[in-house]
Amino acid sequence: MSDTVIKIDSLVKRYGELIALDHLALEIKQGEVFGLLGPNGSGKTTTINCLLSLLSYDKGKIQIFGRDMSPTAYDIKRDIGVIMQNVAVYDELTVQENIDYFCGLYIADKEQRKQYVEDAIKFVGLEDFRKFRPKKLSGGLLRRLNIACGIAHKPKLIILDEPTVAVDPQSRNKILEGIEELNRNGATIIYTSHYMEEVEQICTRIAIMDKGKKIAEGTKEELTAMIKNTETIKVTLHELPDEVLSEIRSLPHIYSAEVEDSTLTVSCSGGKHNLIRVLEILQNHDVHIGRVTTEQPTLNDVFLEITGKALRDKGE
Amino acid sequence: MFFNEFKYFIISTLRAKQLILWLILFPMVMGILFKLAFNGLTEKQFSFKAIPTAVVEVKENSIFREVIKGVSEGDDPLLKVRYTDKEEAENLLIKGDIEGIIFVDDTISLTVAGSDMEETILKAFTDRYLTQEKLITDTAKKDPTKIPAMTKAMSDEIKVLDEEPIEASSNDRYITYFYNLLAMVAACSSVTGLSVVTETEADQSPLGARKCCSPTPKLISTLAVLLGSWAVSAVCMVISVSFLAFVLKIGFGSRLPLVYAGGILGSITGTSMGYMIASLVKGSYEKKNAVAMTVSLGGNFLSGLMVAEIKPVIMEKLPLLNELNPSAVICDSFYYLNIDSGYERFIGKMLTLAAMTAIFTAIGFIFTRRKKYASI
Amino acid sequence: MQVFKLFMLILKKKTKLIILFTIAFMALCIGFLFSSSTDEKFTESRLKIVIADNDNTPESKALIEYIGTKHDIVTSKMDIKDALFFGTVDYFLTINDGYAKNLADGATEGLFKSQHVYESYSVAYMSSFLDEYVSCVRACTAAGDDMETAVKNAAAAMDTNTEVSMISSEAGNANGLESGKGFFRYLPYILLSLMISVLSPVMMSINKKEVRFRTNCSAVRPTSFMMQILLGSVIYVLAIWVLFMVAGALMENGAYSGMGWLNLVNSGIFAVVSAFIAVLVSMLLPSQQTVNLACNVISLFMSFMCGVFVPQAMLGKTVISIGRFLPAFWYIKVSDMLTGAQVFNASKAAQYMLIEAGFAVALGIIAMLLYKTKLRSNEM
Repeated sequence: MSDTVIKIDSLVKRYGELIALDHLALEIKQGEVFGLLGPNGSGKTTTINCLLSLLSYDKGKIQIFGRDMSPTAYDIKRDIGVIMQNVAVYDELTVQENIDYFCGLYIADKEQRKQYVEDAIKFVGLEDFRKFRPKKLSGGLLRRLNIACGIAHKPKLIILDEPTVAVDPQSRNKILEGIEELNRNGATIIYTSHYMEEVEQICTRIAIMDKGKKIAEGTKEELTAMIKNTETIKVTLHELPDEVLSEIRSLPHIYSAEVEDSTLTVSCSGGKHNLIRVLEILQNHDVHIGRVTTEQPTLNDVFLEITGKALRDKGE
Repeated sequence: MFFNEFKYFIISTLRAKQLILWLILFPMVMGILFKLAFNGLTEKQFSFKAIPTAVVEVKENSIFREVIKGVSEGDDPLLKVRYTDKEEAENLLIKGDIEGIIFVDDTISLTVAGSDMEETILKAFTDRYLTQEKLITDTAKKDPTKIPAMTKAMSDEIKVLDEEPIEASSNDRYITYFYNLLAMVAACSSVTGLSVVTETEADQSPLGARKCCSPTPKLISTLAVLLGSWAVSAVCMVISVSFLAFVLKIGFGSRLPLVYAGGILGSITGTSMGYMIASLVKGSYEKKNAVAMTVSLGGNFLSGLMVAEIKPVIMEKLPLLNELNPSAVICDSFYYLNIDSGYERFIGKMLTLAAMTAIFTAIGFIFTRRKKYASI
Repeated sequence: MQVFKLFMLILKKKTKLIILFTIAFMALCIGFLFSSSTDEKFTESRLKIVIADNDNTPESKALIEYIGTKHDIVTSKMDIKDALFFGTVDYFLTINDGYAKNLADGATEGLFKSQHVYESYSVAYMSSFLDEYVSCVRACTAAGDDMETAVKNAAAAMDTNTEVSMISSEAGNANGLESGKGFFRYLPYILLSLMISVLSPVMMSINKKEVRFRTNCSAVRPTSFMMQILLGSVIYVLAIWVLFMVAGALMENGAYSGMGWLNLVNSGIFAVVSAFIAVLVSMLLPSQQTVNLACNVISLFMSFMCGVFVPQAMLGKTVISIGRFLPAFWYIKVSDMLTGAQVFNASKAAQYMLIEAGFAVALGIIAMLLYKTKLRSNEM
């Protein structure tokens, strides 16, 4: 039991008629990078806010470090670092002052705090911007400051709520690397996002949420193994006669084949040599083919298969 | 942890230029305007000066000439007289160089251009002459032997009145505008008080949410921000009072330290009012700010910041409102320092302010006690 | 007409503010409505007097009764000091104990006691009045009347009235705060406030650098862009002017009768001047957050310097000499003529309004020049 950091039991949160969290249960172990994945409005942030005792909830039990969480559980809070979706820093304070201030809410000892603030500045790479006010920082740098304010006190548990929203790819990679480093240094991490690539990249365990419910949980491999799709084959071509398409559909292990925008998409479940068989049929009928790719299943496929809809809206 | 919160609240508040503009610069600009507009206005409006008058003698009247001479000479002359012909006198009156023309004919008559105190005094003067004339002619008809006794009785220098001017540090009626200016600084400090709620409540701002996640107890962070906002408001007040007292040389009297004390307590009351408002008004910062500004400026209006005549009307008709309006209480405390030689009424107002501060803070505290939020 | 539409859209967001300002202003004006009066006939000023009768004899009562015929004897709930300071009471008179006896004995020293805060006309007037009264009573007793008849005869004799005629003067009621109170005197303040607090932020939103660049890249010609903004501004200024002219007709009876139609011209010119000031403000301010402060400072400064709040007759020489360089000063000069605070003089009125219009032209030219230099610096 000692390695369980967070335990949530049948958590229910209602906003009037709307059920934001529906009997949610989670267990997060020491040293994990736990991903909370779901589309916008699926209840990720609500879960985090309930977990932190910011929000009241209707039912359920939340334990952190084996103790009940409450607004006055200061000894628990001392070991948590929080990075919220919105940037929460003082516009009037400089980078250094901001980090010192927020660190000061946790660490009373001045000498120790000085060291910690220094570590945090180095960690997010803001050494050259110590005296800058937040208004002068670019979007990515501001996010990094936001993170520094949350982790300067070296917490054992770090909660990141969509820290990479509206961040350029370079800063995003830096942030993700940072999180992995924090994890290597021993922190347990909860990471929410609707970017499945990020979650796939860094999380050791993932829970997928939709409409306030946990719909799947496990490692990436476990999750993808849950679905029948094992491989997706994409072939660019000019034109495909209907009889050829039906022939492909009749192949074993293939459960769907569609043509859209001059691309043939074939979904397979298990079996080997699927690609060779498909290409053979196309060649036999003299179909002119362009680019051919195969893809391993993604979390998006998992989500798609479980809920029947895409994780993210197109164009997001 | 308390000190950390306190320190950074003060730093961040002082760096926010908005506040400096409103609580320091704006009162200074207003102070300069008031000074320019009201400087010497009381003197001009109320103080008695010899009334410039023209006398047109259509007919010789040596007795009246003597009387005129009597009132236009000496230390405190009533009239400033010049003898002219009718045309010139009317010209002077039209130009506004004189207040009235006394025509000496078979009887005495008066021509004026308005109905103010000066004209009334002119009329009282001529009335008095006519009264004496009438008394003497009446007596002459009844018993001429009494006339010498009568003229003696009338011409005797008498002093029937003991005047006891009220000793005030400043008997400038328009000084109330400066009291109100300070009351405005105090009342507008309520905007600073808003941050006690907006910066410590999780449902108010991301900053508040972050603070609520920290192990610093909410009581401590609330207290730190409250004391911090008191301190900031007090500093703004000290600057305003100093500017008025030393740069504009407004006569606050000899008890200047107490003016500072009243101002500081007033700004603390104003700040606490903001804390209460922020805790009672649900919604965004903008909404709280709008309510705070309306309440503050409404209070200032009722204590006479815009129209000074409002204050005495309320003192007379709605004394309770005058007691409960923080702006009015602050103005009164300054005013009592000016007009009273004792401290009784001043201390009364200070106690009122202290009580208000306690009540506002208590209400603010009660309404922000919750630990969890229904929604963020 | 995209730019024009945008202008109106942003303007619409300010409707609440406009309504709030208008209502507050009307409320303020209603307060003054009752106090404005122009006298054609001479009336004596009546003082508000509080009397403490420590003697309580027929003689003292006769005096109080007589004072009551000329002045208003009031009682005050306030502390007498406060009442005197704030002017709800003009004079506080105490009739000392032994008044009747001393008067009969011919002892005149210290019959009364008075308190005052200001060395004012009321004080001088009352002191002379009491002297007169006592000497009249003494004269009557010297003539052989007993006390009872003496006080009666004295009062009767003192009712002699001088014949007073009134002529209208150019300097008018030089000492009266009452002069020219009312809607049109306070109008400059509200016009300035409404123009700066509404027009400036709208202009600033439209001319925001990033947005300007985008507009500059579009197919809209710069002249067309400017003309559309101008059209929007003209409509706004016109709407506000009409709103307040209608309000003026409601607030003041016969506001536009006789020479009153000049109120329309005068305030129209001032509305244009205010609009140009707002345009300049929008160009010179660094951010929208400072608009509120600038609005307060400019409108209050103009109002205090030019006689909007305190009549020009009461202003000091320094203030007047500063005021000359401000447009509201000339507005008030015309307004004072129309309310009767000054003698009406057609050629002078025309001259003052031309000066006002000159301010509008000058401000317009400055705004144009600034706009051009700004455009150029943006091209860099």
